[in-house]
Amino acid sequence: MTIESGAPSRSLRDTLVSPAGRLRLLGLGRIWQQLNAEARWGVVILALILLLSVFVPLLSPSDPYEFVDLPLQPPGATYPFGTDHLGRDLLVRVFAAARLDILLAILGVSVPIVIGTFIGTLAGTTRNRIAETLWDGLVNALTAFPEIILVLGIVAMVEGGVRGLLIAIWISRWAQYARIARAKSLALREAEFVQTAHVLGYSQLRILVRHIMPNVFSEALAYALSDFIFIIVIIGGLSFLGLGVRPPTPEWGAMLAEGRLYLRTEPWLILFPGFFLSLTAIGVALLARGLEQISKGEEG
Amino acid sequence: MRSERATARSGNRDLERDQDRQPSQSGDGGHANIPPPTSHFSSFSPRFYAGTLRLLRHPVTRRLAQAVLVAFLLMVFAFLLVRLIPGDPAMILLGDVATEEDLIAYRKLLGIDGPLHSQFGRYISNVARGDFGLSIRSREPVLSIIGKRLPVSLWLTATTIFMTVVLALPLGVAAALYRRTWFGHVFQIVASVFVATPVFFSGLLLILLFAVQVSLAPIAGYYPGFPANLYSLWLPALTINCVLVPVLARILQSSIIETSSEEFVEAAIIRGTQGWRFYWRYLLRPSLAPTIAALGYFAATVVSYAVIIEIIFNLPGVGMTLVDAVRNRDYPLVQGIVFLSGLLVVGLTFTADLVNGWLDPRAKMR
Amino acid sequence: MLPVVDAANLSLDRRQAVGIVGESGSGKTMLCRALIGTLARHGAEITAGTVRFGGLDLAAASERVWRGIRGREIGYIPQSSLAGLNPVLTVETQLVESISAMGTLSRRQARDKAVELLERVRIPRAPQVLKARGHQLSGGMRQRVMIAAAIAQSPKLLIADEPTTALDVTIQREILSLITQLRHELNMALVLVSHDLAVIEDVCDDVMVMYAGASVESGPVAALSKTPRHPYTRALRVSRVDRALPGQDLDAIPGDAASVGSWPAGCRFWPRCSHADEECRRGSQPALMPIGRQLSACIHAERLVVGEQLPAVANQEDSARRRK
Repeated sequence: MTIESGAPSRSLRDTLVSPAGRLRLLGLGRIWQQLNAEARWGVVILALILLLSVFVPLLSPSDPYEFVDLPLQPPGATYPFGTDHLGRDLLVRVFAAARLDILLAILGVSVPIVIGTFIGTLAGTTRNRIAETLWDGLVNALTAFPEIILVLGIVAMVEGGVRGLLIAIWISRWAQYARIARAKSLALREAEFVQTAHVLGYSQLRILVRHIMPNVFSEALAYALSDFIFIIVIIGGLSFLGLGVRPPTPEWGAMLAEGRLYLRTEPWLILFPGFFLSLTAIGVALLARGLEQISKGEEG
Repeated sequence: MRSERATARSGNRDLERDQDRQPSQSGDGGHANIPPPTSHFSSFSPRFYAGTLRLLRHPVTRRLAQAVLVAFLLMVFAFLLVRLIPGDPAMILLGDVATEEDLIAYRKLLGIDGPLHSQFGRYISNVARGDFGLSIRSREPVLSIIGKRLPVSLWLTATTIFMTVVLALPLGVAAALYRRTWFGHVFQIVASVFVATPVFFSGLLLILLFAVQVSLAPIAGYYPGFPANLYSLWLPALTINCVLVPVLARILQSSIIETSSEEFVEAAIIRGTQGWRFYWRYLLRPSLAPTIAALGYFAATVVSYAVIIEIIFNLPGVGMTLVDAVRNRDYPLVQGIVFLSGLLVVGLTFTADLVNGWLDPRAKMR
Repeated sequence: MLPVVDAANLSLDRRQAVGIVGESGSGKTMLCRALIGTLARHGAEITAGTVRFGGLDLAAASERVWRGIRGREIGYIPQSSLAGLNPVLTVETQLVESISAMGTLSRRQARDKAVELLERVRIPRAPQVLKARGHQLSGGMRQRVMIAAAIAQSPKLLIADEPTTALDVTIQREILSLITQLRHELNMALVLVSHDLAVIEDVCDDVMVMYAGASVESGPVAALSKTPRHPYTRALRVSRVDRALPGQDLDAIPGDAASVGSWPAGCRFWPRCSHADEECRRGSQPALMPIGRQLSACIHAERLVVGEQLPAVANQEDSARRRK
């Protein structure tokens, strides 16, 4: 008697190396080669902004809070972006703001992704119908609030400033990740390598931590890129409303709010911070779209 | 010879099966037989209609029940919001100089006196009666403040949605039909740029362009009254649409591309269907459902942006009220607006689902 | 661009029924699309040859000319009846469209005509079916609706592209006899596409066998079934669906069908042919040559004699089964 299996070429080890594990093996150069045009443009734009935000404040003789010249100087040789309404160097302020905004956005994304993924994956382990209904309701309710309004509401209760803003973002954003994580972990439980792990007698916890979580996390990371844009908009938006980062701290949204008063006569006060704010968002958006297309292409 | 015998045999077998399946059918020549009921849906009888009706009603009720649960949880969140405040809210509002009587009166005003469960009970029953408390600032009922500011926000929403439809439909169709020409490529790039530009920057740019340079709109402010208000609303609405239109046009585009390869489109061409009828019935209508669903999905984002837009363009709507209330720490007003905005989004999503079901009878409501 | 069909010959007279038979990928559907003028939608075009209909050359016809012909002169029944009906429209809307393209009819008249059409395709309770949408009907019912739409303007030619593939065997039979009846009632010519030779033998007068984008044999149904003059026709006869067990129908022909873009040199069937010799592998696809009452593209057509060769093919079928 001969018994042949359906997929004899696949060894047990292959099935156990989960998709997330394979990603880690790739080098940086190979990642660049795999990117499409859109993703490459995104990387170039983001790298440019990061470099500028590191080196401009570092190499410039003035600091972002210093009154260097007469206020409202138009862009020129000495001050490429001109000076603002208090006579500060706009170039330095724009890139000091880039540092702060990108840092805040990273902080704003990273905490919800960890909390959300963890809670969502745990929620994915239950099959109790009542618990599922309640969970759906909870997540739907939290995500039903218009994002900025919920953040505003929490900021009103907690306090203004950077800390209040971050807390508000964390409280309001985790549910998105929890939703994604739950859906993904539900799907993963049926996946071959998880089933194999069960058969091999691994403990529930080990399967959850070693096999399900890394894959859920890579899915959440993909969403985090588009969320990053939104967080930047929230940070900028609340600061624009005077409820986030406050002047004189250089922040794009706050700078737009200040420059808005001089819109008629000195439009460069809003053009420069607004341009780099948009450019950052466009860079992230291009990267996200490019990566999405790549992953779609791999599946199809 | 062999083959012909085989045909006859298999023919018999089929006939027998046919009789097995529909014993009650009076055979009128065989060709006119109604196909045997293969599933619940395929049988075609009056009972079928009753069944459809029940089925149709069923998912809607389920969806409605879900919406009610979500609305209740929204209320719980709104209730908890004020409890997020570290320390004693009354103390924060009144400062150190407050007397004990003042503090007690303030706690009562905020609904934070007594044990938590009785607070919650009171909150629920008040909200159910439409009582969201009094504004700390003006001592006016929260609901009447919102009611006064609501028309501006509603006008803004209506103008925005009108503009969205007018812009997104033709853009999406054009982007689908001409996707391989220069228009398609330009559309992709421009859409990416517009989607990523934050509204508070694009708003300022549009003011610079249309209000400062050519004064087609006021730089800020609101003119009440119907035709006059459009003059102050079209630019804010356009700003929101800078984000909304590219997103929806893209969804519509890919949906139309998918539809156009369907066989029923070919069947319609062969039938000789032409003109607006062809475009509306065979390309647009079957493609609209995902776009409407997306509109429901983006409702929350649009309401969010409306807040910022109201500030930029100085429109005295609910968004501006909210920002003022946050600045003044007017807790009941903030709480009321946050809750109602959530409720609004739940309502909009629900409506989008209903419209969806009407547009595409296949779409199962989940 | 790749050639998809490059040596197809098909002709039919008024009221005649011709069947096109072949495996999937042989170019049957593309040929149909050429007959109905929708090649461009599928990124294909006619680069050589003619399609004559009446006095017109349809291969060179403009979209404007086509609009006057599709539906009016040539009716079409698509492959999948579910995909053929717009899911968001009622049967009535779609039928009335077919009818009103004809001329100026009032709403009322068009509706009455729609009911009449449904009754014509033997649909009971027509007024109720009119209000339904595609997904609410059974497969057979949907195909009847598609037939009703195709005959709405009494075309002279009806093209049915595998009209019964998605259906139950019982319902297949009903649909086919309905098509035959309607053909006689309305004096239509019929082009019926199928991968099942038995279906075509039941319904058609003439048959054309296609393989890898070329017609390999054509002639009266009776002649082809009695004395097939091409090894492929022979193999098709052996693999007839009603004689094979489910899932086995194509096993009778060894090897895979030549796919578009990788046609072999010489006769395209030679890699799967038991009669193939050196001569078959040379040159290009042989042209159709008259032999007996039919046309065959096999250079050894003379050698394929009735009694002698049929068992050989049958044996081959047996050996194919034994190998499994």
